[in-house]
Amino acid sequence: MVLHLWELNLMRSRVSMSYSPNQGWYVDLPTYIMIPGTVLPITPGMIDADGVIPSADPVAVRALGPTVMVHHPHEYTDPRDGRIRADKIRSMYSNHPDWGRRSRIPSIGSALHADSA
Amino acid sequence: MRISHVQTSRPAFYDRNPIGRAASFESAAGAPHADTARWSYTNPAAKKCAVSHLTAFMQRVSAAAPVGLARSYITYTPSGGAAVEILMAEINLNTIEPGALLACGSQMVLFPGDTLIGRTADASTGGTINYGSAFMGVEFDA
Repeated sequence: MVLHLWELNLMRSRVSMSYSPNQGWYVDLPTYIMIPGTVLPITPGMIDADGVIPSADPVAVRALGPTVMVHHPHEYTDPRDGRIRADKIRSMYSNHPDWGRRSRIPSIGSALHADSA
Repeated sequence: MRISHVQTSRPAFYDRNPIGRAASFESAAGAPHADTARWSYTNPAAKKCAVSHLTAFMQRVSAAAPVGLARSYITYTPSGGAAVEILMAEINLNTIEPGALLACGSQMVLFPGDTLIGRTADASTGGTINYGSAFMGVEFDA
């Protein structure tokens, strides 16, 4: 038996945070790890380095464009520039009812490769 | 005429192109925050994952004013299904040091498209908490 062990998520990107009432704040990627203390922009009363203040209005917070550093699988990225490609994600989760859809584009802001839709 | 049954053997899961997978989130003295998905693992197509370990941890470091429910928990979402909480550590106390630690050795198997998510939340005002959650497993050919 050959078992290769390595840390999941070998790439690091700053991506937009998303919000929904039933999911709370999250990153719109199938697999990722948030890096603690990297949420931006730090805004008193609304956004802390660890996340969004509980009492902050999600609509107002979304207007600030919160982002966070995440680790994610290197299989998501274009080897030429390291940016995340939607088509690579779709190929990894081809039968998934959400991530396998041709129209599925991750809402991650500028970390997404522009011509990967 | 001889009739015989031919049984095709298949390697054990740990011999079918295994890859170790893990995700974890640890935050020391984290401030109160809304419900946040700290890590997510979605099982790729044509793969399964034998999850061997799940952990959720939290411990209050400094007092809040007032205290609110704080939790570190893991949800499981079957492909095309709804999320359910499968492991949680939560506290609603303002006392320093007592911790809620829950470590669970798991036997679950993730199928293609299944998702595990580690989340934290703290509805307190002020105060800080140490958080942690993690999963570990072996991904292999389905």
